[in-house]
This record gives sequence, C-alpha cells and structure tokens, in this order.
Amino acid sequence: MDDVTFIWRSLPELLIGFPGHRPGGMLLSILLAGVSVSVGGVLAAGFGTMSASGQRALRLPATAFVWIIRGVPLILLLLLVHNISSSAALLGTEGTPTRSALIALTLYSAAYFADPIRAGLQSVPPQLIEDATLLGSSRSHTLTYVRLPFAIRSMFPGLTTQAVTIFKDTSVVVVIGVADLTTNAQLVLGADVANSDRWIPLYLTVGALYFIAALVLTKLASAWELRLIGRRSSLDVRPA
Amino acid sequence: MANWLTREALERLVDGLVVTVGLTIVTTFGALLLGGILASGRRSRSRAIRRASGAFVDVFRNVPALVLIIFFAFAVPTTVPQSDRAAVFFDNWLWNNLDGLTGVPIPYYAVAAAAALIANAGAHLGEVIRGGLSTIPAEEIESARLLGAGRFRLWWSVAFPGALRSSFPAVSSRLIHNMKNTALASFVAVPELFHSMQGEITRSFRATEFLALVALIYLGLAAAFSMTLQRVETHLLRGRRG
Amino acid sequence: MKKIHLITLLLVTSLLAVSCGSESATSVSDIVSESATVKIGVRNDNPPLSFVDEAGNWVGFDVDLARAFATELGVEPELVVVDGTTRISFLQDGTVDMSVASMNHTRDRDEAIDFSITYFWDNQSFLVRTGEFTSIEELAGATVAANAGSSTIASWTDYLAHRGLPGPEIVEFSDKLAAMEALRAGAVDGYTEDNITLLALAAGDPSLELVPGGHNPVQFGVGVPVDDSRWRDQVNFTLQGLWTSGTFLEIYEKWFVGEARVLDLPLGGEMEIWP
Repeated sequence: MDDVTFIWRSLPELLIGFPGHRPGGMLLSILLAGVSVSVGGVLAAGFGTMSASGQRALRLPATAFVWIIRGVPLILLLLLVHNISSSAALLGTEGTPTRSALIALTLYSAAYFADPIRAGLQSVPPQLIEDATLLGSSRSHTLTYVRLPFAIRSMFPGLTTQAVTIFKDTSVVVVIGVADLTTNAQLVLGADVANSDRWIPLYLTVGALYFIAALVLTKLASAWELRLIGRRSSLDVRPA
Repeated sequence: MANWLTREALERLVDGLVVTVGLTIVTTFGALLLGGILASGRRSRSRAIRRASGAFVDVFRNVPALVLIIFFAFAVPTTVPQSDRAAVFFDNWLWNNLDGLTGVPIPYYAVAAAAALIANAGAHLGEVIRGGLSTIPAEEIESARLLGAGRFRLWWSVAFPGALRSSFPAVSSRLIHNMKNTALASFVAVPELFHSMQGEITRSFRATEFLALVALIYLGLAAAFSMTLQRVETHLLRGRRG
Repeated sequence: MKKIHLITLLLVTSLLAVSCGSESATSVSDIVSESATVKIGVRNDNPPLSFVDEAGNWVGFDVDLARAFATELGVEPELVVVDGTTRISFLQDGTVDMSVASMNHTRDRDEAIDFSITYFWDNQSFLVRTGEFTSIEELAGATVAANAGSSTIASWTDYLAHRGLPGPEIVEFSDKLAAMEALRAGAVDGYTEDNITLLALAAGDPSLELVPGGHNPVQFGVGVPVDDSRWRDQVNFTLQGLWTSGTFLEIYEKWFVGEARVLDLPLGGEMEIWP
C-alpha cells in the first residue's frame, strides 16, 4: 500500500476516531476545545470580575487561581486533575481520561481568559457606568449588562486568539490516553508493523489537519467578530 | 523529610530540573534569535523573503508544539534509509560526545525537541516582534542612519531592542509558555523535570505527592523566569536609550 | 505578592494532605460481602492481559481472571477501567477493592499498597533488532530503552553490577510506541520490559526478536488497599481456590499455551498453596 492510500485509509480514524471510540481524533479535539472554552469562558467572567474587584477577599483568590493554573504546564495540570478527580462521580459521569481532560482544559481556559476580561473590565469608560447607574441600574445589573459586554467586545480579538491556541494545546491529552488526533496518529502507526516507515506522511497530514482547523477557526472567529462588533479589528487575519 | 521523598528521588528530580533549565535557556535564546529574523524577514523588501517568512510563521505557529517534537524526533530520521539511520542520528562522533558532555542518553532527541520548541516559539515571537517593530518611530531609524549606523548596527541597537521593549508583555508571556512546553520533551525521553517526575511516580506508586511537588517547582520556575525577564527589560532594554 | 505565595502554599499543601489517606476500621471484606459485589480495577491498554479487541470487547487474561475470581468468591464482578496511575490511586481511595493490573511487587510500591501472592510469572528480557544479539549479557554497556520508573531499570543495573559487566545507559520512555520507534530507528539497541509486553508489541514484526533468558523474574500480584489483612487473606485464599480447582490453569492455557493461544508463554511458576 503506498503512502497516499495509507493516509486516505487512516483518515476516518484521524478525523473522527476508531470504531467503538468515537467521537475521537480531530472531532474530539474540537469538542474538547469547544466545551472547555465555553464553560471556561463563563468561569473566567467570574474570575475576571473578582480580580478586577476592589475587595481584597475577592481579588486575591482569583489572582491566585489564575497564577497557579498559568504557572504549571498543561500536561502537568492534566495529570494532576486526573489523579485527583478520577475517582469522583461528578454529575453522574465516570472518571474517564476524557472527563479529566475536559475539567483540566476548562480550568486552563478560565485562567487564560480571566486576565483579558479583567483588563477589559478595567478599561470600561467610567461615563458608561455612571450613565447606567443614573438610569437606575443596580450594581449587578450594570456588571452583567454594561461592563461585561463592553469588556468582552473590547477584548474579543485577544479572546478568540486564545481560544484557537487552546484548541492546539488539546494535543497534550495524549499523555492520559484520550483518543484525540495526536493520540490516534500514534495508534494508527502502531497498529501495523508495516506502518513504521510512514511517520513522515502521517505526521505531515496531522500537521496539515491542525493547520487547516486553526485557519478555519480563526476565519470563523473573525466573521463572528464582524457580526458582533460591526468592524474587523486591526488584527491580522492570519491564523493565530 | 516525607518518607516518599527519598534521597534518590530528590536527586533524580534535581537532575531533571537541571535539564529543564538548560533546555529553557537554549530555546529562549534560539526563539528570540529566530523571532527577530522572521520579524525582519516579514518586512523585507524582497517579496520572496517576505513570503517565506510568512509561511514559516504560519506553519510553525499553527501546528502544536508536541506534534512538532514528535515529528522532528521520530519522523525526520525516516528520511534516511534504515541502514544509515543509526550512523547519522545516533551513533557517531557528534552524538557520542554530546552524550558524554551532558549526560543525555539520546542527544538527537533532545536536539530535535529543542529545534521544535525554537521553531514554535520563534514563529510566535516573529509575529509579536513584527508588531513591535512597527511601533518604532521612523525618525529614530532615520537619525541612526544619518549618524552612520550600518544595517546590522541599526538592527541590533535600535530596531530589535525597541521592538522587544514595546512588545515586552507578549514576548515575556510567550517565553514563559515556552518554558512550560519543555515538559513536552518528556515524550521523546528527554530527561527533564516532568520526565523525572513520571519515573518517580511509577517507581513509588505515589502520584499525588510528586505531582503536587513538581507543580510547585514549575510555579517557582515561572516566577523566577518572570522576574528575570523583568530585570532584563528594565536594565538591558531601557538602558540602551540615549 | 506575598499573599499570593501564601495562598498558593495553602492550596498546594492541601493537595499534599489529600495524599495522606484516611484509615478506616472496616475491612474491604465486609464491604464486599455486604454489597455482594467486588470492584476490580483492570487495564484496557495492555494486550494480551487486558485490552479492547477490534469488535470493541474488553478481553484478556486479566479480564477472565477477574471474572473467575468473583465467581469463586461468590459475588458479582464490577470491572473498573484503570491505567498506570489509577490502578494505585483507586485502591487508595476505595474506588476499587483490588487491582489486577500487571503490578510487579516491589518493596517501594508496598509502602503505598499491599500485594497478594504471585499469580503471574514472567521474566524481563530484551527486544532487539533481529540478529544483533544472542544473549542479554551482550547488551552490557549498550544504550537501551525501558519504561519510565519501571522495575526493569534497577534490575538490569543490578544484574550487570553483580556480574562485573559495564553499566547500562538506560533511556526512560513514558510511551511504549515511542520506545519501539527508538528501537526500530537505531536510537537504542534494546528495549527491556516484561516479556509478555515485548512479545505483544513485536507481534508479527520479523525485524524484531526477543533475546532468550531474562534478568529479572517477574511476579505480578493483585493490588489491594494497604493494611487490610482480612481482605488480603481473602484475596489470597480465593486465588488459591482458583488454582486448586483448575480454573486458573484453564484460563492460562486459553491465552498462552493452548492451540488458540495469543502468545507463547509457558507457565513460569506455581502458585503457593497454603494448607
């Protein structure tokens, strides 16, 4: 079987996973990134608000959280989360490697989004807040409907870049055996001894897949930004 | 001392820590150099150079670091026929000496991992520094040129430091991220800190303890690195201003 | 900045405190008999002992043994997937009552968990490129691969030291496929692991072969929570029951001796039977 046929035959496993272990491959990488970025984003709104707060009791834990999660390699965070949480049944789910990967990536996303959100919150023009208060808006109302949307809008390019980065970072889940694209590439190579000379074509394909996915995600983010803000930022439309 | 943290375990972790620091230093300088080259390449007058730099940045920014490490370590040797592979990559004068010098048993894998990390971080820095370059006022370049500064001097004393200064937070952030990425080299058996930790966990069957300890060490490294970079920014970069 | 350090310290110390598990006075024996179920941790990434076949079924010697164990004990089996780390941590926090997960007894490991009597015998030799080595002594001083933190490392180092042969250059891999690739590419001259693992990894590859002999007779024990003698005794007696009734040999022959065997591994020992 020549190299091209080999790659073609391996595509299903690379893109959506091995039979019985689907979703897997690239599909799983995207799902992992998608879920953790969304949930992490919500958490980050909370942490970002806390670290922008004037009260020390709120600011310090949030800053500590961000600092710890950002200070350790993601691969270590993964193992740590898997070690601690895999015996606990959370919301009816079992402690599988995939669940640990989701938890770790969510915490990771939250920590990486919290800072831009904090910066965004601190850059809200005071006039805007004053106007809202004058119109009778309560503090929490102002936060949710005025400050946070402004913060997110102004930090949007940075946030989406970060999201695409997190998608690429999902490749480290290979270390706890989650069947994502990187892991499946390894498995495809190991499945048959005849494949042992196919490292280059296979990994070129894997690289190309990540590249294409990052490109598509960046374009999507750019289009979303256009809809949301009504103009493109000065950010280069090259993939992140 | 806790009974799980034996003297041998601690020694092995310290050995790993030394490799991590070494790998970080090598890849930091390499990435800065490569980033500078790519950034100026992107602004070159030659269209071919602009495109080549742009392509390099695109490829090496968008392929995950781990995939690059695996590619350089395992895929690249397959370009050489099986019979010559060992002689080129593993068993000749160069590799045997590196082994003796550094104590790393398969030096090629360490070199491959370092190359992958430099390519990845360098590509990111190329983007960042390019942004920094565009903030340097044209007058500054002009006046330096009038004073007789050659192209290299112009770059080294005015453009590069200026770009680094203005993009410093992003540069610092990327370099620290790179330091954490050195843990990925464990996948190709480079004996750095994360790799040592994995060994200890299997030896003693105690995971939580070693994970927590090594997490603390990485936090310490990140803090120390961050402070060092701050110092560099304050003294080296600012000091250059006339 | 100082406050952040304090909080970090607190958070990480509490993580370290988690590791000091709590003691309970009830034995797992009681828990098992009350619930009429035994939770057994088994791997799924370790052919031919425990793996997932092409049809998606969880099969293997360990899997069959675990099920037979439950039957012998008179309870229902509940198999829980474990990996290299959770086969220990699940024992420590009670998620499983026992682990049948290719665990070689070592004194180091005995501090974290306890082991049953030996139920599997193997040796640790080297996988090499075909035709390069005929005995393990020829690998003295060579660069060889081993799994990170494996018992093979200390064993091979001691084996050579005892015979006055040059010390080894051991490269530790955390990924078996990476180690195999290093062997094929010529980065290492041999890969040492449990013979059964090596045979499974090299199955069908004529360019690799297993060097005869071995440097470390391997003894797998069933992992049980630490300091629970009643449960440990029960596990031991149940294993002995499986041996004397012939069930153990049946399962062993199915996987390693009989016509339909997956790998060729003659029985390397005999279970100790206490009268």
